[in-house]
Amino acid sequence: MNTSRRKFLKTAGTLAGATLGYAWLKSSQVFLFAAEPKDEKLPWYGIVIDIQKCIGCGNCAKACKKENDVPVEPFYFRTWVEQYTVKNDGSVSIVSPNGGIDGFKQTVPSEEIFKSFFVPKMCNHCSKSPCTQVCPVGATFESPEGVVLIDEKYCIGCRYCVQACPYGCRFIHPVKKVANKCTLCYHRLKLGLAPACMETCPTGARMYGNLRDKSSELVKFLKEHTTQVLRSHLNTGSKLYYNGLSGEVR
Amino acid sequence: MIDNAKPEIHYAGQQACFKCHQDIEDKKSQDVHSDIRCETCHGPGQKHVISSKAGEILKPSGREFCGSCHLINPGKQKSTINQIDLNTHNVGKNCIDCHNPHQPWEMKK
Amino acid sequence: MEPHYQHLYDILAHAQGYIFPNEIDLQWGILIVVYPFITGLVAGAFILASLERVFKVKVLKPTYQIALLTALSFLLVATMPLISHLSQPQRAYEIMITPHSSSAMAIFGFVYLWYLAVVLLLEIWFDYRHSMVVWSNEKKGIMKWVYKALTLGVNDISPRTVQWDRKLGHIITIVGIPSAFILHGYVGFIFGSLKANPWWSSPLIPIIFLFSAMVSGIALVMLVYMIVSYLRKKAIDLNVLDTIGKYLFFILILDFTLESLDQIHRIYEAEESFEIIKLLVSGKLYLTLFVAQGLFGTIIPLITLVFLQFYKHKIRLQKTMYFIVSILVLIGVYSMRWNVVIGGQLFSKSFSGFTSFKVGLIGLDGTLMAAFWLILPVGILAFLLWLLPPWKMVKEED
Repeated sequence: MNTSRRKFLKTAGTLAGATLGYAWLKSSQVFLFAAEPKDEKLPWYGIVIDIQKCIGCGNCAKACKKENDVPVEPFYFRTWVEQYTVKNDGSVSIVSPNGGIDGFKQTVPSEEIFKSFFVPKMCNHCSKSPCTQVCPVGATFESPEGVVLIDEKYCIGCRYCVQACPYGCRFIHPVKKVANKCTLCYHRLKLGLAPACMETCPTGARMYGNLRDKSSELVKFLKEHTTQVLRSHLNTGSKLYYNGLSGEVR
Repeated sequence: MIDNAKPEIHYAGQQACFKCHQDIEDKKSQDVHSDIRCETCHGPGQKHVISSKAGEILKPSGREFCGSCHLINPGKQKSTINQIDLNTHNVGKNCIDCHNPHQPWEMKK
Repeated sequence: MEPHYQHLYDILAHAQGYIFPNEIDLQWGILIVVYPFITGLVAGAFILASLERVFKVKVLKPTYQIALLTALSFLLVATMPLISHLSQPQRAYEIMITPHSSSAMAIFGFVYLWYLAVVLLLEIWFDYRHSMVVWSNEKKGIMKWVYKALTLGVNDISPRTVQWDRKLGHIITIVGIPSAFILHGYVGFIFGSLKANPWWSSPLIPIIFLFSAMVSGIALVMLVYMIVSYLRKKAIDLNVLDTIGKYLFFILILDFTLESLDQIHRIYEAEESFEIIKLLVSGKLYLTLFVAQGLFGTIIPLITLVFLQFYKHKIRLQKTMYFIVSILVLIGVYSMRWNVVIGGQLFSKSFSGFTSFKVGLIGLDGTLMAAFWLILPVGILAFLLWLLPPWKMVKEED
């Protein structure tokens, strides 16, 4: 082979290899997606929502928007409340007017109703979170306390995470133009305060706590009640446990 | 994570309220609203905690407000909350004309 | 901010059933329909070029350079729909410097660069080098220096060196075939690996994407060959069209089989999401799925291609029919991308409702932008065909 071509190929090859190698080294610093992190001293947060206690007042959704700078327009919710009305003919009507912030009006006549209940929804803070898995730059990550967070300075707004969340709890903030979602009020947790939604729930339907602490209220509740997670077949490792979850709920 | 811990809080938590309003806590703890935290009805209180100004926190009073929890709805369990039909229950009056919001069953005369 | 909210209030008014409150606006719009379409064209055009090179299908020789240059033109534009779709496009470089290794999307930068630099550019360079050296000696003025620069200083055109060009180009083409598969296959995997969306989540999706990509690329090269020959006032070789048509037919059959399998499997299993998907397919996707993709994009081209294979050279309108077939196929494949991307977002993850999609005209995420990214490669191709005309290349003995 002609020497000039050999030199060219060698240089090109080295450059390509070096770039790939550097990129590979950098990427292995970003962890894949964590299951349970190693630090035993930190709490490992879980959430319980007691459907039998929820009265659909919407205080949680309202407080969340106030606490977390979420636009008041009815298109962006870190948490919301749904009302399921199972009718006598078997059909199910699901509504969430403005996320439940303004409460619910009864729209189905009482004589047609078989049963009805409210289901608050929020980020499940999955321990095998699909949103963390798919983020191309690692802007979404699981904190050592098990809270799934977003680095707003790094997110490129590709929206892959929004597609990947089976619970529909992510959105793109219209002003900040990055992904946004419930952070379990991480800034409040760090101060020892309860998340805003739980602070303002009048019936105690929402609870949070340390899953590692066997004496915590949360763990005691889990022991004494039958709880389920949403979309369990998708194996997201959801840490949001519902008490009294009825089969109609997705 | 550091950025996620930065935002300012809006809800102070009821321990902050009790520092000045212990008398209300004493009353509230004896009646059915005992488990309801202050900011559930009064809205975010952090500004009021810092400034102590009455105008910086909500003092709700209307029928609709109490109805946001107590309005009858088939989705609410009767064992969880007492429910009323706002269209028939003492129409024209404010709820707090008769019920002390911190001690609802201590009816005002 | 107001106009954006008005658009959302309109959509809210048209939402059917129950959708999660955050699902009101589609996250991936027309630009994300255009991106797999473009990379599909690239992969498909390259595969057709490889047929000539690696599998020695001599009849296709006139289309070899056309296919490569078409692939290059579209590949150069391929990143743009993605970048103009990001809500923080200025941070796009982050995918290259800190890719998250568990994310299929993070592969993009590397696969793209690999394919562009190591496969396409190198192959074109090896193929054209001899001619570029000759042109740099023949031309005067600025073009002389342009060609000199393109040869990268490697001016040896002795028979041995030219043979090395051929050999290395051959190796690169072989490497290029799986690279093309990965370039487009990973896009299919991006959709196919999302367990949250039952319209997308399937191991078949990457394969279906690949086969429809090959179909679109082959159809595009057929179209470009016809248009370029017409513009050059040269006769269109019917043997070339017949051969391309044959490959198009076989791959289209395979593509159709895979798509049908996906749907039959879904209908048969009828799992949780089936009810809402049935409504989706028979309602909002009816026109784009059954009419555009199915009837016009697949069935009619298949029947026409069979017809043309049996009645070769006996019909006056044969070239016109090939022309129409290639356009129909391209429309069909575009509709397929639409049906996958948009269709997957029209129904709610609650499986109880639909949102609606209105494509905006202006803005970084609008129709005009998408049209621009589709038309720009045509301009680039015209430029490349002027700069590196395949018909003026040095004729080499085989």
